[in-house]
Amino acid sequence: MRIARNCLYLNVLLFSLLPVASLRAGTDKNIVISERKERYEFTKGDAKNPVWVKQYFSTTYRCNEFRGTIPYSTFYDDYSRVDDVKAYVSGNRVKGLRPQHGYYSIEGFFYSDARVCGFMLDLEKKGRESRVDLEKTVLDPRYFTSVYFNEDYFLHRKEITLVVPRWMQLEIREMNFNTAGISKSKVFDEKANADIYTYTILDQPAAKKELSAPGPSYLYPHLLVCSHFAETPAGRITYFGNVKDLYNWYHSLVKEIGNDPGPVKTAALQIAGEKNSEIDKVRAVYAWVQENIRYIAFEDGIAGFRPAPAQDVLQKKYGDCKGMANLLKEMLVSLGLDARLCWIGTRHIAYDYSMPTLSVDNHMICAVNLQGRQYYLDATETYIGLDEYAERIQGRQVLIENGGEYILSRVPERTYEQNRQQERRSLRIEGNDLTGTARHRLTGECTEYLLTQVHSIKKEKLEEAMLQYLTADNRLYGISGIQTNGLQDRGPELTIQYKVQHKEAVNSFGDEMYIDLDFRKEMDGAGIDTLTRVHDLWLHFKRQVLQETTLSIPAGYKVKSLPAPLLVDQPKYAFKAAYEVKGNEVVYRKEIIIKNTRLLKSEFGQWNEDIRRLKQTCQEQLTLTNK
Amino acid sequence: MRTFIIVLVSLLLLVMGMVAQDRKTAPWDVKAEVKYKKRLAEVKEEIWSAEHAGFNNRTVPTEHAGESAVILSKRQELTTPDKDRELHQTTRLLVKINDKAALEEYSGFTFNQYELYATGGFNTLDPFSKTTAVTYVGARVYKPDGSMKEVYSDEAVVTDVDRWKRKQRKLAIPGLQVGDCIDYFIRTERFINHANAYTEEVFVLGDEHPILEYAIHVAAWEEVFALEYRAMNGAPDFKQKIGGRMMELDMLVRNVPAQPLNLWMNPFRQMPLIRLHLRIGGRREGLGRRREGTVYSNPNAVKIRDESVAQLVAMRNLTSRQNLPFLGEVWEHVKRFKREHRNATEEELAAHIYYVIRYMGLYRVKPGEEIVVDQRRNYAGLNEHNFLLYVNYMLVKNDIEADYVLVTPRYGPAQSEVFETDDYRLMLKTTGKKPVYMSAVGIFSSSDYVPGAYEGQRAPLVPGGPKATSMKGQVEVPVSTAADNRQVERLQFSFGEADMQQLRIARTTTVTGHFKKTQQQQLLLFEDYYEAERKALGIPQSFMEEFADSRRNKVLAEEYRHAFDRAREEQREYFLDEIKDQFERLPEVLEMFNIVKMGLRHTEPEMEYTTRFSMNGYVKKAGNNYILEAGRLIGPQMAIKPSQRERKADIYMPFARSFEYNMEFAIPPGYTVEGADKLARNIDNECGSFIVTTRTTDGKLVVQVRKVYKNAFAPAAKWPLLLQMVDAAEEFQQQKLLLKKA
Repeated sequence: MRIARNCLYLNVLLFSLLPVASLRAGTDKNIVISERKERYEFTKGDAKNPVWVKQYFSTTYRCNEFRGTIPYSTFYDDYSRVDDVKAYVSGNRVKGLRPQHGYYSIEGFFYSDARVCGFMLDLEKKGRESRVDLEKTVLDPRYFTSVYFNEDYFLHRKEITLVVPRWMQLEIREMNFNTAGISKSKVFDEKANADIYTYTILDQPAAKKELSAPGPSYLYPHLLVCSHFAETPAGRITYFGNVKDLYNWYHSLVKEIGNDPGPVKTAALQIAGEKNSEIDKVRAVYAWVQENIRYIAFEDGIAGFRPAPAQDVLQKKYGDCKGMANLLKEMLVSLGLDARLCWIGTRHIAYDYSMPTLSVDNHMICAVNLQGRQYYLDATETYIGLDEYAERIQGRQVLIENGGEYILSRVPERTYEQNRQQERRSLRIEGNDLTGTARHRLTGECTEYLLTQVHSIKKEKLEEAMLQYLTADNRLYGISGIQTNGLQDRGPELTIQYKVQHKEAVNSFGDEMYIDLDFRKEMDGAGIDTLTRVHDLWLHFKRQVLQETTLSIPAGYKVKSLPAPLLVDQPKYAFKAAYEVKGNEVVYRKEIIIKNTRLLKSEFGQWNEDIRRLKQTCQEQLTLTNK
Repeated sequence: MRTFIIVLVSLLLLVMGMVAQDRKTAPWDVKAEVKYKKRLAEVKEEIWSAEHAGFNNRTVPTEHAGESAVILSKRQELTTPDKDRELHQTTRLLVKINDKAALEEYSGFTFNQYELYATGGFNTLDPFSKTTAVTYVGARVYKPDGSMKEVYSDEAVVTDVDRWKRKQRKLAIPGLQVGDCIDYFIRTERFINHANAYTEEVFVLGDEHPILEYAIHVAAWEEVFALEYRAMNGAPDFKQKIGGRMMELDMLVRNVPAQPLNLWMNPFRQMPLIRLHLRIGGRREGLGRRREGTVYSNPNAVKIRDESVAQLVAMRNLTSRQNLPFLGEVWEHVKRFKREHRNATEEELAAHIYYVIRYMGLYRVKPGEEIVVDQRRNYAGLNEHNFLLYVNYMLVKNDIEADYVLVTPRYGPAQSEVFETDDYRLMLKTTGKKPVYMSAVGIFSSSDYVPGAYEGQRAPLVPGGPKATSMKGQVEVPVSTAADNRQVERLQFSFGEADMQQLRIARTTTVTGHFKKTQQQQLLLFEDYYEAERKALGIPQSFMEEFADSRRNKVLAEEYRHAFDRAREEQREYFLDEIKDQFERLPEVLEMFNIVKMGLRHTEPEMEYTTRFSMNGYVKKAGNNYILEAGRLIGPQMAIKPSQRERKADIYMPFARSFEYNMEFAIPPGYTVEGADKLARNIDNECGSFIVTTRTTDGKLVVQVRKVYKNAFAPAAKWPLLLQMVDAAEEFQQQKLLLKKA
């Protein structure tokens, strides 16, 4: 509905003539943090939450170049609250400041209990400072797990103080302190009966987000805090003194789930059907959950740690990782198998369970033991097969439930051989065209990646999308007669085969023909900009890309020159390419192997050089000449 | 004004503070939720119990088995339950889910449970009052075995509560799987408060999915409301029934095929659709008023046009020095221009007025403003009506006659099918010997620019002078040609001495007409165009100088200097992006970039810039020789997908245009070039052309490529002609040259 606004036009004339450009917060050179003080103090809480962590933040921003307005925000959730916010611009208190509170939507989450509190802060002019004082309370020390030193702006000085009364036992672990130049002191305040830890850091660049970078726990100096226990007048409250405590807490939540075995067993029996062997039963149930349960991420208070009941997930056909893992476990248990829930931190997290805090894990999967061999099932990976593991969980420590006890184990590592992406072409020259057949074979995460794309495309558009993918959007690369295996049903591998007619692919000049046998040039854009890249780069997963093209040499022609071979074999990757004449055929074979996904900054130079060589090899042409 | 804004913001914050950081549901929300649940129960009973046969059929005809989803039945209702200006809008769909993409599409609903729609005052969300719309959602999932599960909006999670705007919730549909049917409704209930207010409904008889049955039902209380609608592009008419004190419109359409939007389509002129207003009626008709109890079916477009004219005349007559900002300064500039240019023609004075107001509105810098001098500034704009009313006011005061041009843009309804006054946009046209069309399309809008969407439209004229009250005929807005809208690239290529595979490129790019604005927005710096315009308008002192001379603002001048420097540093990135846009990859090295002409005024119709850089990936080694991928040097060309090659819909392109690539290759010593003869092309038909010529001079190979889209519109029957040209350009990308070692 709309009212006739036209009558208002002249009244708003002045407004509408103003530039409509939006405001942008200053970058690190212009607006910096001259000082930030953070104080974390363990105090007595209330009956429900006997120990609180009171937090005080004082942040002073300085305008170095030109005035502007920056957003100031802080986050809270079901376990924390914002108590007070004050702002000062050029030394004057901002009167009537009322920060806006709202739901914070986290990318990829259907729902989250995260809330944001924020307002816009003016920096009055060059050389002036504005300050924000903020008080927050974390209502349970379990949820106070880490303190980071870096900020979103260049930071001149930061002081972090932790006030830990002697009745509170905790461990502070200093992470990534190596070259950060952090100074530290510890004094005992007799009056408060508390140890006071003070850390100071100077001149830190702004934290920078980059694609394919390791998680922040690898990158920035921070304190990892693990609250062990508190001695209160009502007695000792145990938090996470060791992994057992952490497990006990998790286990207590699991015991409250309220699974109903009835409907779950009925479904499991139906799915497992006539399968005789245990492994076939596991395969069937795993595939069913992957196929039929939609992943929807929820983060809602304690429900963020406790799985939803299996029967609910089964009925709703959606769930988060915990819900999916719990359903899998309950189904497998109902079939008489030894299945357990597992807590796990993906590779995004730098820690393992040697430091038992809630920061250690961020994911839940299911483990099933078959004749002494442990299989890990992660149903959030929709198309990965049994005993195949996504890069993000490979080698990660898992906390496996075991009644009142727990088991610590690791998800097996897999090599690039799990994830193959092979393409074999057999071509001949017809006029200026290359014609023949092609066959693709994909396994592991390569299948997961492709099928995720395929199934996000509407059915009627799928064929065209497949064509676009296979032809690299080149209309002259004509393909027909596509046959697929594993696109709709789950098999050990996905295969695609078709006929090829690559028009105008043969360039004839005089007696010679020039042919580019490398159609896809897979790593063409893989160079790293070393001028701007700050962090290490983690490739998505280990894999082997194999391209093999066999070309029949036409009658009356011979090979004039073959491009030189390429052999790069580094500890983390290998690039190989070679042409070989076999009878009346030329075989071009290129292999790209990513053995280790974690490229360090110190390796970027070599990587770029090797990528340059690979690109150059892929650009070279085969020359045929009249006999 | 500034004080007012501060007061307003303070008040906003004050009210917001009342709900700040309370994790518990607010009392108003708790109270409303009780009422919401009660009403939801009534709504679902009403909807599920309604007998509509289409919702009983859950069988998909075999011919639709290959579709991602099939809409078995769709029903839209717009009803007024009583005389209290209350309005119920309901959409109900029964959809068969055939694949995971459709499952994803229908597996969750995000909706505003409460939404504030009353404007003005300090209204906050107040569910079930006359200021707040309330939405109910319900869904039933039918399994192939006939079992059914249902879910409703009161079970949805809350994802946002903004007391000034909305309460948003998200509903996940439980149990939905591929092969199921989902029957869902979305009901919104609200009030029409303002006497002149109306609902704006557009019923499109086409969807990405096929629809087996599509019903529309409108019922309005005849004592209070009026209905008006227009069926367009072949959409059928409603069946009308007036009786029982209700006006009712009904339509039932079967087997609407899937109609995904395609390349170069114009939905408003090609898709069957019905626009409908449900509005408060009056005793008598008048400007913007309709008579109660009346159904205006396919109303005469002339009536709407006359309303637009009357509105414009009213606004024109209201424009005065009381409501025009910075009028004194504008007058000062105009008077000085007249003094200094006594022989200036009417056209020159009109242009000067245009540029003065553009400068005052968008270029001039005042001390209290936020510092915005980087690329964001290039997207600043002016309200079309307000700016042109201002320009006309000054033209009239300077005895220059001009008419307003009420134009219907090409991507909206044609003049014969206008339905509401906002369907018209505005230009000015001087009436002198050389009429000039003036528009307002942003900070780089020149005084003679006609937006592409307005071209070729027949448009009513309304005198700009104060006395005339009616239109004075019509005009056909001129159409630009491909020669007016050019992108011309002069490219000089040489080969790296140390590395033959590195291609060095010296490039001069010139853009004109409709191509200009995008490049200006991407590449120009405020500091440069501010200075150019200031000097062109004869303003002696820049704001930087003014600020530097003022004790109060001295520091501001320094700050602007810093901001200018920062923006200039960023300009390099803009040029890198521009090169990537043209060549699909970043250069290895960007050696130089420069703006030659900014093209800020009609007197400088071209924008020109130069770049010099090196690229890899175009030269391939072949033994001792090299293959140069010459065809790819004209940049990526449009590829028409297989599904788009057959076409029944007419072709609406944004404007006629031409691209020229004048390429000059310096042949390296010791090499000869082969294959130049194979580059030549000559496709030329009535829709477009793609012509390539080559020649060799002074040891250089010169290749000229010209691609022309001759018209902005082509009937579907001409699609093969356009394809010829588009395909030729795409295929040209495969063309190569051989650099042969002598």
